[in-house]
Amino acid sequence: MKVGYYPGCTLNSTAEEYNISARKVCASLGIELVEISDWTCCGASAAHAASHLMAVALPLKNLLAYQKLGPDTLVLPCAACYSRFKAAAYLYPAHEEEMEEIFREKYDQALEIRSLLNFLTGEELLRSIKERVKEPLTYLRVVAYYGCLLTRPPRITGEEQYEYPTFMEELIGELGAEPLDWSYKTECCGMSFSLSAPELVIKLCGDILRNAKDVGANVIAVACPLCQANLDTRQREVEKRYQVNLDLPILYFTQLIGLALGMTPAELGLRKHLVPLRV
Amino acid sequence: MLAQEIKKDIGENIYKCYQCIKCTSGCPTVYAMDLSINQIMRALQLGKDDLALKSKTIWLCTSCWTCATRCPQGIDITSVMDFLRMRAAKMEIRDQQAATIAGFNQIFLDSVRSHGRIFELGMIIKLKMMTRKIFQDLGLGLRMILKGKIPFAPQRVGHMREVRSMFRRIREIEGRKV
Ligand code: SF4
Ligand code: SF4
Repeated sequence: MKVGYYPGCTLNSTAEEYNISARKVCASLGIELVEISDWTCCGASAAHAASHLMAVALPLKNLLAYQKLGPDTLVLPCAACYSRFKAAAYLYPAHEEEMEEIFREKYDQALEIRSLLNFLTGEELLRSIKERVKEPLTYLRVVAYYGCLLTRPPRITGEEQYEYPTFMEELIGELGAEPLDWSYKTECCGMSFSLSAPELVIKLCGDILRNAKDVGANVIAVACPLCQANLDTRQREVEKRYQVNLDLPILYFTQLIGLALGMTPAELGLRKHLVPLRV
Repeated sequence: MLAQEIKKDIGENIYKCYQCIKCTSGCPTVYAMDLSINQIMRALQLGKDDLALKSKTIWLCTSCWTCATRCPQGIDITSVMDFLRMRAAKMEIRDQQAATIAGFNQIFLDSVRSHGRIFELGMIIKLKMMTRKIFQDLGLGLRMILKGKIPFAPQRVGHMREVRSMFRRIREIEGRKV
């Protein structure tokens, strides 16, 4: 199976291990990820706060390139990129003329835009993952953290479970780990405020991390490089601020799949995290 | 009145708001805001545009889509926040936290304009020059560099000419509108 793949800026820098583990896991499932070489930034949280046109144009520039590539599905590992691509596709009809003036071409709107998590937890691939599990993760109690952008708003994402999704838990269960119920799975981690307003991120991540700890998790599974970075890199400050001991490794769901399929922590880039997974 | 411009520009009808406060209840950053989300809506209904535009609230919104998902009146509040930020960006922002967030958005877009992708290290340095908080997060930055998480050079994108012409044409179209 061949699908288009847009890694996004962070997967080439701060979240390299998400890229590595996503590629490894997809390869072992027989999925070929096709990436264009000169993709550009989706604008993340900055473009839509600055200009309507920029918010549509930045993702669209990439959609135009991917529509020529072949595969009719485009998969995005980063929840923030995914959200911007989905929003751009949703808003495109209202800006069609302006976009044609900017790019001198039309978007045929045929690409199916999916998050990597949604894609890999589809019925068939989930079964295929289950069949390949070599080392069940029975030692892990996991809370699934979707973050705010992966499922919302439903009119743009098309997601049926948007307030209390459970498709990541389904995957975690198939990997042999124990998924736990909790109340912060779709709360916001503060996203891009990590650099511009860290004190906000520490409060938001503090709420998320402490609830995860309270329900008995020993790992948080994520599907977004911004969530991972905030929960991992700000954890020490959260511990200090709230006088708690957390020690919660933040793993990409692709790393969890990889571990269950028998890949080594080093192969999956686990050493890149600040809070280590001790197994 | 801004409420009318919002209707014209993004099609959202502020007058539909009936103050149920669902938006505010779910907002992750409301604890740090000066006006709650429903108060912003009320201010817009009453034509007190300045209250909304000068609030910290619009800058502390993370665009998490919670309010827009839950509003029983179907108002896309998240996009209303975007609209307000675009308007407020042209005014002076007094609050320091809000000004840093707004300034960072600008730094982010400058990075995309000049490299086609974001260049974290360049952005961090610019942010530090802007806020003069050189030492904030220094330890964390070093730990991340040691983990190989922060590249020292920007990523390379071919066809930078296309990126530049995209930004130029956007500016042209926006220039025609005002
Ligand atoms: S949720 Fe909607 S109707 Fe309720 S207060 Fe907020 S904007 Fe008004
Ligand atoms: S989108 Fe903004 S205003 Fe709405 S809930 Fe999220 S942070 Fe609050």
